[in-house]
Amino acid sequence: MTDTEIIDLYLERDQSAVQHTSDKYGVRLRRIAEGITRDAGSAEECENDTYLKTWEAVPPSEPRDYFFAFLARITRHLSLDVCKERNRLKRKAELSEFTKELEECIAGADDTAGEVEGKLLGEIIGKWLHAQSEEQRNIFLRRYWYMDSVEEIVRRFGYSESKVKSVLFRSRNSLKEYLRKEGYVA
Amino acid sequence: MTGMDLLDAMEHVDPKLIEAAENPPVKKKKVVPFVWTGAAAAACLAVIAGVSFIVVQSRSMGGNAAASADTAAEASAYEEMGEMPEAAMDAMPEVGADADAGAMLAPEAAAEGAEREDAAMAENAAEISSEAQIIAQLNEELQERTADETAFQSIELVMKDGTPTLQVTITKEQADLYDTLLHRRSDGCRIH
Repeated sequence: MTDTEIIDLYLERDQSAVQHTSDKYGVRLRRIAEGITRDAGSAEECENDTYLKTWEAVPPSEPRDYFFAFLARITRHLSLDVCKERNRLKRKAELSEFTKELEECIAGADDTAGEVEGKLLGEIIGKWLHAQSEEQRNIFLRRYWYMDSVEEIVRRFGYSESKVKSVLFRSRNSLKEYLRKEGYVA
Repeated sequence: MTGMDLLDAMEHVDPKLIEAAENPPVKKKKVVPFVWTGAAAAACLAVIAGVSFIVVQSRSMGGNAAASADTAAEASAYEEMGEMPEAAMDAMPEVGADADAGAMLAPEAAAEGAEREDAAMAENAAEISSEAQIIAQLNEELQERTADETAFQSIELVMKDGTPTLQVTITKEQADLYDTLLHRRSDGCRIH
């Protein structure tokens, strides 16, 4: 079943849309959630919540051309929320590794004046990503969007660990420079 | 702005980029630059040409030495009879009794040796050609008998112990049939 047909089912409020979504993208969504939460139970919960959020969001949204990315974004958001909740409860600091790395990009940012709306910041990062090479872009997204570990990226791309770390380091420096030029970082 | 803000903001990047990053990476084939390919081919050709030159030269030297030895033997036979032919007389100063004499041949003797070599090679080629004809006839007959379009799996001219030989690869059934056909003929064609 095509994405458009599934979206049509959502628009018709046909509950089989959820089943079709699960059949087509369930495994990939669970993998994303498990990659972020590192827990099978939480991942399954995030996957189910994704279907619920999608049911609520379509309509009015009609993500016909980017249905997987739409679902993945919801899954990622829910998975990050699970991790944040764990951090709040002082159970485990899974996200600290990623946030510490990304803080290199905003070193010197003025917190009082430099508050940027999330969506706008996302668009700025998107513009920067478009300017990167395909390889550099995909490695960066695997690390900070899908939140893969360095080992997973090494396996996926077949590069050495040092090469992956070096690409990420250069990417962070490049993003920092871009944000500085755009006036978001001092 | 914190690292978490950046991590959260990432969810707003272009969905196409997200989907592209989800797809398995395409491994690019390493393209060997044309210059290196050409250089490698040139090096191979140079090696082949060098080896061929050495082989041809050594064969030519061997042929001359054999020709010189023949001339020397002929000359000594005439000497015993008390007379010497003109050709043998001409060749004598350059032709030594030892085996290395070939290397000291005069240009005329060398040319003569090369001519003899060419003649021998032509004769050899004619033999091969006649062998090829025999093989072709046998093949034709075999094909008629087997109604098979390709009776030979492969056929090529190879050097075996310094003799140009036709090497034919056939199936067991075809080999048996060939045996029968060869027994019927008196050509004595060699098949390996």
